Amino acid sequence: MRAAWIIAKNVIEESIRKKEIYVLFILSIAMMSVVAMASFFSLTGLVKYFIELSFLIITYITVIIAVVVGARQLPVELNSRTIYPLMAKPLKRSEFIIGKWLGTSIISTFCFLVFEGIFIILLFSKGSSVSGILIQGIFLHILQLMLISSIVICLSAFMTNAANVTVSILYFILGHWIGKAISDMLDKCGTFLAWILKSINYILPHLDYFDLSKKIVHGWPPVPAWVIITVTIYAVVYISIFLLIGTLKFQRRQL
Amino acid sequence: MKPVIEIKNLHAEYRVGREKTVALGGISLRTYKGEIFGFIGPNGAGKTTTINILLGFMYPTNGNAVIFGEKSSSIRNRFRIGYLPEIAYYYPFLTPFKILTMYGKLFRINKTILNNRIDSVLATVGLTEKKNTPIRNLSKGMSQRLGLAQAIINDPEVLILDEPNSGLDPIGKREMRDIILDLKNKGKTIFFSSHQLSEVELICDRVGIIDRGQILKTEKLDQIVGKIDTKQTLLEDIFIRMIKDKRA
Ligand SMILES: Nc1ncnc2c1ncn2[C@@H]1O[C@H](COP(=O)(O)OP(=O)(O)O)[C@@H](O)[C@H]1O
Ligand SMILES: [Mg+2]
Repeated sequence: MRAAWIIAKNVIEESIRKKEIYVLFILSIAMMSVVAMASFFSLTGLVKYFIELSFLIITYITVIIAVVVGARQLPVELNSRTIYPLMAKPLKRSEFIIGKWLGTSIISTFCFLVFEGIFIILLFSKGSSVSGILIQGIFLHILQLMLISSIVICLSAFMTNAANVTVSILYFILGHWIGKAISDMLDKCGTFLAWILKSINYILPHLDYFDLSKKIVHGWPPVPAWVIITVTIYAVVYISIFLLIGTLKFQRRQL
Repeated sequence: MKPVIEIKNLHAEYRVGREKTVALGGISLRTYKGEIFGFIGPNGAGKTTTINILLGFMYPTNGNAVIFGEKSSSIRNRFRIGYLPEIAYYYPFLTPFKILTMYGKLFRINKTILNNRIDSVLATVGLTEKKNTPIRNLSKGMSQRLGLAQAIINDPEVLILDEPNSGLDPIGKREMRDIILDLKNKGKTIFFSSHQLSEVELICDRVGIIDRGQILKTEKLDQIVGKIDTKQTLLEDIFIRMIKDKRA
């Protein structure tokens, strides 16, 4: 596993040297500031809007960071041929996959924590405070970033960078915002295709389990610990499955 | 004597869409401890394919490749192998020092030993001054030197060098030859490929000549060279004649 950590550090180093993360950083901080100012000047429901929009922005931007960083890892190693000297070293293909996942998870989590830090400072400046459910929401989003990183790394063993980014972002949007609507719709029509789609929907991880944003906005009390534990186990199981599939595919691949 | 590298009846093919290219049609060869083995053949002969199978990048359709008596690409073997790719690029955002540190750590070399080793391999390949220069700013020749540096960072017992001379100027070739000879003097086993049979290949103890995925001949270099008087100029001709005869 030490080898995986070395690969993860390489992912982090690469991301720091590239500019896109800084662009996303500035972009999201700018958006959050606009939201913060807008809700400062309006009178009612202000903090709620600020929390809701900020959470939305942070969620999207950090998922995009995970997808963009994760999807390019394997394709870039192959295209630039850096994979050849690397894989001649005592490094298992599984360690390569795990390392790439770990690096992607760390980068996206780090960005997320920085954004959250800024968000919490702005929250304090509005006289609001950090609630228990917010802490739970932060934890679950980190899990979600790790899960999405594993999906992206797994897919990178199967498809090109561009296809991977498209599929992953679509999956995130569908899973989050209209997944429920689709599954309700499928329940109503009983065709074979609907059955297949429902099965797929059933097998794939449900990202909405990781979303506490509504509860955070409406100031709910923290959810029970068993819920958090169950969702954590759920994430760990899926992450393991995706990393396993990615490793098996990558092992079979000729470089 | 037990061979260090043993390739038996290796078959390999590439599939691009529906098209199938047979790259290796059953080659066998052996390399013994402490020798320099030159794997010589024209472009497209199957040299890189053979080396890629040795390192586990590609899987043969038949036959097998063994190093130190076990599967050539086993993790255990990789601790003992140094590999220089034919064309490789190294992470452009790192420096020679950083990339050698990364590779060295994969070999689990202890930090103080590794730092000394990095200085010594950089000196060997003449890159000491570029230790902290971003790799993206290195010239092609310097990249090739860095390639050699990473190939010897683990003080390997076996070196597998894919066209180590390509892209080097005459001085670079001379230096490469000296480095390879020096490694041989340290008891290393060296397996390298080349598409030419010129002065540099004179350091080989034995050569295996490959063309179109078949080994034409494996013999001691002096047996080839012995057949003529003026060495350097005619070597290339012999090589070409040998391939032409077989193809005809
Ligand atoms: N990635 C590839 N896809 C399809 N064919 C390939 C590929 N790589 C090599 N080949 C073919 O396999 C044969 C052997 O190539 P290679 O081992 O690279 O030769 P060499 O290293 O001796 O120049 C050639 O006919 C070449 O065209
Ligand atoms: Mg080649």
